[in-house]
Amino acid sequence: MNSYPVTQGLILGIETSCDETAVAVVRDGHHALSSVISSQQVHSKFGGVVPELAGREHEKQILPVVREALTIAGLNMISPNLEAIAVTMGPGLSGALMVGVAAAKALSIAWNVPLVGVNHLEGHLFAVRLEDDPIEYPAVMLLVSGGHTMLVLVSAPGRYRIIGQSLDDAAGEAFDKVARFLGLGYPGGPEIEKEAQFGDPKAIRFPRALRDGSFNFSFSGLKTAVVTYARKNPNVEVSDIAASFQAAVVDILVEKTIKAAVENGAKSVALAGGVAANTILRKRMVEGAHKHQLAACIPAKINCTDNGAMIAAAGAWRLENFGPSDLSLGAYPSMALEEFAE
Amino acid sequence: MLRLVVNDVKQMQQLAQVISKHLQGGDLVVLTGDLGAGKTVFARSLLQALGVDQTVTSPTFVIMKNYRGKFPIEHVDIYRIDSLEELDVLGIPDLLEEGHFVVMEWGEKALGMFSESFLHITFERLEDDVSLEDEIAGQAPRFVSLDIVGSGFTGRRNQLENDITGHWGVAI
Repeated sequence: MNSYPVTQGLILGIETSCDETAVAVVRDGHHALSSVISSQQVHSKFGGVVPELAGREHEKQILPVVREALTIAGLNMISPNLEAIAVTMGPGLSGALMVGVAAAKALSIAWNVPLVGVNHLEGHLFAVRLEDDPIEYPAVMLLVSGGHTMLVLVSAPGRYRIIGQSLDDAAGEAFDKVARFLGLGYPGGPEIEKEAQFGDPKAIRFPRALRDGSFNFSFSGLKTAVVTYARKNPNVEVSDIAASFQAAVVDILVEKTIKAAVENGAKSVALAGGVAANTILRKRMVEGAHKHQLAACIPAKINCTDNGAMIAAAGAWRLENFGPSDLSLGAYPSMALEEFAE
Repeated sequence: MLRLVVNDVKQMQQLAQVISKHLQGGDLVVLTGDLGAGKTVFARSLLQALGVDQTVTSPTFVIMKNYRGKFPIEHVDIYRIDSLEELDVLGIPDLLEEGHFVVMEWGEKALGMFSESFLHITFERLEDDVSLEDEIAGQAPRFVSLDIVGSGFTGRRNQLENDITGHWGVAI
């Protein structure tokens, strides 16, 4: 399978699939020497969430962020001596992806280093490799963010099977919408988490959807239940609603992840994606795993949300096993993870 | 304008089915209503009735999802959009012109924006004494209002209205 020498050098990882302009330098595919994340003010008058406009904001940020990531890693912009440049090519917002891909291609020519296209979702699955302890395969990984909620059985790097996913809203989207409804800020995940600290997670018994033996998720009904409950009980504390809502989301995420791991004979479970930064989810996933003698790999929060280091880690592996991409690399907004499975 | 009572999720799916028969490429359907009022349930049923066989997931995060049904379909959600400039960039008039069918959720902000004619469907909760259990089970009723804005849908307007009133009668 080795079509390329083993990666030992420095890989630059570029990620611009959504709101974050993120660049990192990673050594050996495991050690992040720098990881710079510049977040767009999504709901400000600049930038914005529409693909084309998000792209404009990435365009302004990309080179300053590359320079910062190189500087922190002790490299210079003229000849950084990289082994390769890895870049997210999809899925994501088209205009946003294109900026990262175009920048990566230009730098690849300028520095005369190979280019590697990386699937954003595969990137998230590689965040576990940035941790000190190697993960034991097979692993069941819960990838949970504003745009995705999926359970992936990873039998080895590059070997993926999606065993469940959300049939409607992503978990992060439910956090955002419920936060806005409750009058909390954006993004909703951290805001709900903050508010929930002051509330009782058992105050309200919100539904845990799709306890049907499948590994799919549904959060649309939960969102409706929160709205219904809040309208009928105007005097109930917002903190209790936030805590109970968060408990319902975390319960179902943990329950299904552990069950999927046990049923598929996995040795470990892992978290990835922006919602994986939620403290309660992290804590409960570890507890759930240990109860079933599973290892739990919970990457640092900075490696869970969108970042360049995970893209560099996945890029290192891709390069080692499949060689570089050519300069005709494009942006693929609706690329599926399966297209990347071996 | 028609105003109906739709009793549960199953009836909402039936309504989508009936309406779908009168739609064609180039049509715009705008859905409005509060969080959890039924927009997505309706949109999903409508897309399925229009021949989409993939799972229809929420377009909120990516703003716009493209499907292939009887004609090209754009499922748009402008929940996260804050400015007219952002809306403009989506290029919805061009897509309609090219024969794409567009269904837009959270269209409140955009109602004054379209020079095109559109079918405006509004979803409201009927009352607050429905139990949480019924709500979760999809057994809670909704008011649904339908209004054709502008001069479009000519020749189809009466048929659409008759077909709907034939199935449901009109509330209030």
